[in-house]
Amino acid sequence: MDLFKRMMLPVSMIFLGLGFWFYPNFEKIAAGIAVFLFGLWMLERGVQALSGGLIEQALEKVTKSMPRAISFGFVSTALVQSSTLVMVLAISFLAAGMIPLSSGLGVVMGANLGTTTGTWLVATFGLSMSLSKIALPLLIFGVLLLFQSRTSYSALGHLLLGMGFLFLGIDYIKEGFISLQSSIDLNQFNPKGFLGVLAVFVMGFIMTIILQSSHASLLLTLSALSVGQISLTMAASITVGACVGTTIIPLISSLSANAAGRRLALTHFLFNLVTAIIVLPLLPLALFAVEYISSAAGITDANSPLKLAFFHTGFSMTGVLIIFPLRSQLEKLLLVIIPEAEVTESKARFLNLAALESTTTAIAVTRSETIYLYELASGIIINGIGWQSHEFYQDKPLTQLTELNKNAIADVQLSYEQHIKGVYSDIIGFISSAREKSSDVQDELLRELWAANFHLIDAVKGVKHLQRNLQNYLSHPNQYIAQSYQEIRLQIGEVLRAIEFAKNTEDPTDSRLALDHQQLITERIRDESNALIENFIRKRQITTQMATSLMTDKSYVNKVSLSLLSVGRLLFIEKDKPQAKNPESLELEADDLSAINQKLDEQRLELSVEESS
Amino acid sequence: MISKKLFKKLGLFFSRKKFEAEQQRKELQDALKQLKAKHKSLKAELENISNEEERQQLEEKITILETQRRKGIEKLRNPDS
Repeated sequence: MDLFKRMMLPVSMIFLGLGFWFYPNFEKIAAGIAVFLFGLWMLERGVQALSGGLIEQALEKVTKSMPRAISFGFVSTALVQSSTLVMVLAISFLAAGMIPLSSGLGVVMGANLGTTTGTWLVATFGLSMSLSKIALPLLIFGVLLLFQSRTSYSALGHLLLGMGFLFLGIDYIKEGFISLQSSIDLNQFNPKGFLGVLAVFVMGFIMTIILQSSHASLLLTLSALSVGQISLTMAASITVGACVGTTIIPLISSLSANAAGRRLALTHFLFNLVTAIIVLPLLPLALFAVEYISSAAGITDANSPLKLAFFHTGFSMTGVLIIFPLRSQLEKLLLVIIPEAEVTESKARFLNLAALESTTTAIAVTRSETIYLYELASGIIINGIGWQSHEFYQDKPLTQLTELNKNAIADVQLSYEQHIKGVYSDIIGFISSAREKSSDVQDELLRELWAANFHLIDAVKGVKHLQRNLQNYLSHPNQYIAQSYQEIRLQIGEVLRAIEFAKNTEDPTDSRLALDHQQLITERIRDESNALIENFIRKRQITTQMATSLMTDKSYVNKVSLSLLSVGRLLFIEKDKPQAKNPESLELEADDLSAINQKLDEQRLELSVEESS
Repeated sequence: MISKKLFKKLGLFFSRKKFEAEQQRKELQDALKQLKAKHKSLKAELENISNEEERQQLEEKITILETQRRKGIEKLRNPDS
């Protein structure tokens, strides 16, 4: 992707320089495109900030049915006026396993239909009136709002500025083509025969890749068509080229994604390419149909941009009609063309560069990857303390779990190097990149995920430190030390089970309470541990050497438990549920937990005194 | 009464600090409502439990909720503390 962008810059510079040199009037059109693209960028930022990740949240919920996926693709593309952005988001979500391929196919169809809204808007309003008159007040209000400190106002400012620049760009391009009429007649390049159509199609394809926006290509085409610089046949061929060209950026972005993401990008490309292959040879017939519908609708030759809008819609609809009945066969074909790659545990599964296009998506894939890392780490911890992972998550009491043979227990340090370190490094690198363009709220979420990863690694390292003593003392003939280490193991087990409960419980209040309760127990064990060990020494139940090992390991298990509980809080208490919001003032600190334990002890003492008297 | 409400809303509109403080207050109020409901349901559950270990665990959870609620109410009364 970087190489592609680096190549595009000198190519665009040379192309523009030559254009300005030979045709001074071309400058106005180029300025119009620049202003238009800047407007699209502002609009995209405004919609993203105003929706507060709504598009990404909606995307996750379109998995229910195909019509909903198509509607989502259509509405979101119409809103942000960029099928590329919607496709990049869909690829990232698919790569993260958050939506299935069938939903992705629906989004492709919807996004293709959504791009036609831009053509209709420009053809209907953009070319028939002077948009700069509307653009100027929009720019003024936009700038005023942009400088407001409240995020929603500044997002609205971006939106208004985006619209203002879009309108201004359209006007510049329109005027540019009018003044270009005197120096050059583009009609001389009108395609003759099928090869001519094919050449213009390639031109539209390349133009869209250079501009990285089918909207900009279509705007140029509509403007040229409106002043009679190009024929409807040429405009239609460019439109088909633009529709195929717009799939290239998501296709390149998907190269860093996993097989699922690449499948969707390929679908988008195939969808438009197949439609182009069918429509281009039948172009005269398609244009005849457009002319027929236009005359029936009362559209004259003076309104030829509207005819192009009809053609664009017809092209996208044809694609949907072809692909919709074949979607299940297409899914099977894609699975054959791009098979699932062999899973390497030491590499990230869901992170992909395309997800960095939207910070909300980057957060979502990082969360999925961190949950995957948690699963790997908890498996290593369970095995490291002598239990079997699959048996651990059954309802069996911890004391009845099968003891692993010493040879079957993996070395935690080795497992960390082999399975965790790679994924952890990938996540940290990805978060650093995502934070470069995140807002304050998004930055906070990314820092939380960073912290979750850090705590998780801390927990694994803690278990690594106590693994040797645990293996030695669990089967020790001294029952006191054996029992103490069994309690250490049970403590970790209880914490992991509490996290599993929090992970699978719908109500965040219940999840939070389960984790807080486990933290209370952890604090109690910590408070009591010194007195307990002192008692062992005083009664000569364990040696001082055993006691010092126990003291160190009790400290490790306390850290491991607290780290794991932090991971549980950061990962498994749903962020998008309102009741999940727990103001900081309600969080319990060590002093609060000690006070609760003290209060509970007093209550129990009073009760036992009452019962005995 | 109406003018008092109107001035409050205008104050929130013009001051970002006040707006954020009001948002935090509402969040805290919502969280306290959730805790109250949970506290009530656990208390009711406690009446029907005879197993000593389960009872003890539930009591611990209830005490956690009580502490959190006390902290929250204190914060609501003295937001600057």
